[in-house]
Amino acid sequence: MFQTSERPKAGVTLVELLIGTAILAVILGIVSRWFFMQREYQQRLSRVSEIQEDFRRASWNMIQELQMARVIIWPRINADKSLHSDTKLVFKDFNGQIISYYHESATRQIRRCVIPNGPGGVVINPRPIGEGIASASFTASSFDNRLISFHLSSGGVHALDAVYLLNGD
Amino acid sequence: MNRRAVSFVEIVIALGILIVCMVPVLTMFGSAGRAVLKSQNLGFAIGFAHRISQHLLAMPFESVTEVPLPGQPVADGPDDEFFNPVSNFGTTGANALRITKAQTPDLWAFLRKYEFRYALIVNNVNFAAGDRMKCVGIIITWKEGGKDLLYKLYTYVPDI
Repeated sequence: MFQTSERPKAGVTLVELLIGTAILAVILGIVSRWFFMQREYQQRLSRVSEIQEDFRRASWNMIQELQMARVIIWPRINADKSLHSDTKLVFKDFNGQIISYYHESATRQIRRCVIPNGPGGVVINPRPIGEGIASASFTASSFDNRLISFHLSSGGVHALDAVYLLNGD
Repeated sequence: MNRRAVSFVEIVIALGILIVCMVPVLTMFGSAGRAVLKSQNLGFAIGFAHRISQHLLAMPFESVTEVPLPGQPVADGPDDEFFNPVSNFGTTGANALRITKAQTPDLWAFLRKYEFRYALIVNNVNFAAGDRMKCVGIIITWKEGGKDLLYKLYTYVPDI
């Protein structure tokens, strides 16, 4: 007579497989959620970094010209000697030209133009001096019209800086 | 041929190894983010220090006085000629805006979050007889991830 002796095969049962799959699903769920959160965070940081770069470029462009300027024409201190702010800045540069920086909220840019002393039209620079700036304000901060503070902001990022004009008029 | 399948214990061990391998990859994101954050706050502090240095040049010589550490907070700070009032779009002092939760909430929230402060260390110096000059150390401090961070800038204020 033949006797069949079958050895039990080592392997996973359906229950073990299901438990394994469930554990894997939970782990993947946690990891993927964390991954997407991190990706969102990275994107936000990348945006912040870009905004800061925009601020640095705009500040550098303005400070370089302003510190050699002669006098701030607008904005000026209020009659009661309090500060006065505007989104436009007008000043006389080292060569006596009248220059204006102004913020365009529609394009999120700070533009520069030359205002003629006599007849002729305003000459706007083709390239903006600052881009990606949601709001900009220039504040007259001293009685002698030589100190101008500015505040740039965009997407919750801010820059507070100031320039003291080295040359008096 | 002896075909042996994977056991449940092996699956769990494999998953454990997978998690251990993924942890360093995922923490890499976090450390890159912290570096960007640090550069953001440092960039802000540099602008702050420059702003103070420019304001010092416009101030009367005798008004340049020490602000001892731990320094003056920028958000909710006093009227100090450096940061408060920060702007004024009106024609009288009554319209001046200060860095407070009510008047500039966005800027206030940022400055409060990192507890930005400034301190001034003032020393009288003279390079020649009759010179009157002050050497001012501008110290900007802020908190980041439980650490106290600092940026320092020295400037000279002459008596003109």
